[in-house]
Amino acid sequence: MNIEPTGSVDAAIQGALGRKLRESWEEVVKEEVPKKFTVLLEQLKQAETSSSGFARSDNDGGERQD
Amino acid sequence: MAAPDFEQSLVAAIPHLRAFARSFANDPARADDLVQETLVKAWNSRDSFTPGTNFRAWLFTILRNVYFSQHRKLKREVDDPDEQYQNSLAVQPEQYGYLDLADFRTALAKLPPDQREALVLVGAEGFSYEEAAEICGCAVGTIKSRVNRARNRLVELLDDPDLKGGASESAAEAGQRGRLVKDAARG
Repeated sequence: MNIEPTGSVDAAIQGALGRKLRESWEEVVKEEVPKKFTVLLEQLKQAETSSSGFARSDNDGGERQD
Repeated sequence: MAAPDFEQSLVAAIPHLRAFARSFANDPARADDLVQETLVKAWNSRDSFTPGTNFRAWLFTILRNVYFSQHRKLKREVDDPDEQYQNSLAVQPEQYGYLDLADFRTALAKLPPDQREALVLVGAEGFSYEEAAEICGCAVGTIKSRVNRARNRLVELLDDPDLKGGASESAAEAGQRGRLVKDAARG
């Protein structure tokens, strides 16, 4: 009973997978962004203006962690 | 980039960073922690962004670095991410058309991480192979082959009646490939 899929069926499957992938992605993208993110950006801005660059860091190594 | 522009671009990118983070950390709260740390790092190193280059790719690279630097530290103490993800999926059984989105995500979570990442960057976020290669720090050919392997593996996984461990008989009979074909036909 097993029928080998033709190339076009595979292409169609890949098309369906691609749509599913984007649907899955878009669902997260369209979620309302939690407030904590804008609060965080405000804090970063304030830290900078209140201490002129205090919060700036050249450390781009990704090694800092709580 | 001037501070206000930078901030605006950063805010606009947050939803995409959250989606990308979700492909690393399956728990949404952990994914958001990852995004927060990425925002701090991006803000503090904004002088290193080259104007005219792809801002989102720059951010994705930072998120990736944040994730891997944490991951090295944790030394895999944490988890089997696949298992965690499937547990979190078990509580949201909403149906999405012929091929359940939850089933799709379960299969996606089962992909090897490097393949999932390549597929998501190219297929979901729409980066070019070149941009994805830059984000991942690998060759363009490597990204292409990861995307191909990811696609093939996804079809296999969705075809497997044991996708969800305890799949019901009817679901197993229906077969994910059958559903995919129907999905494809609906086009």
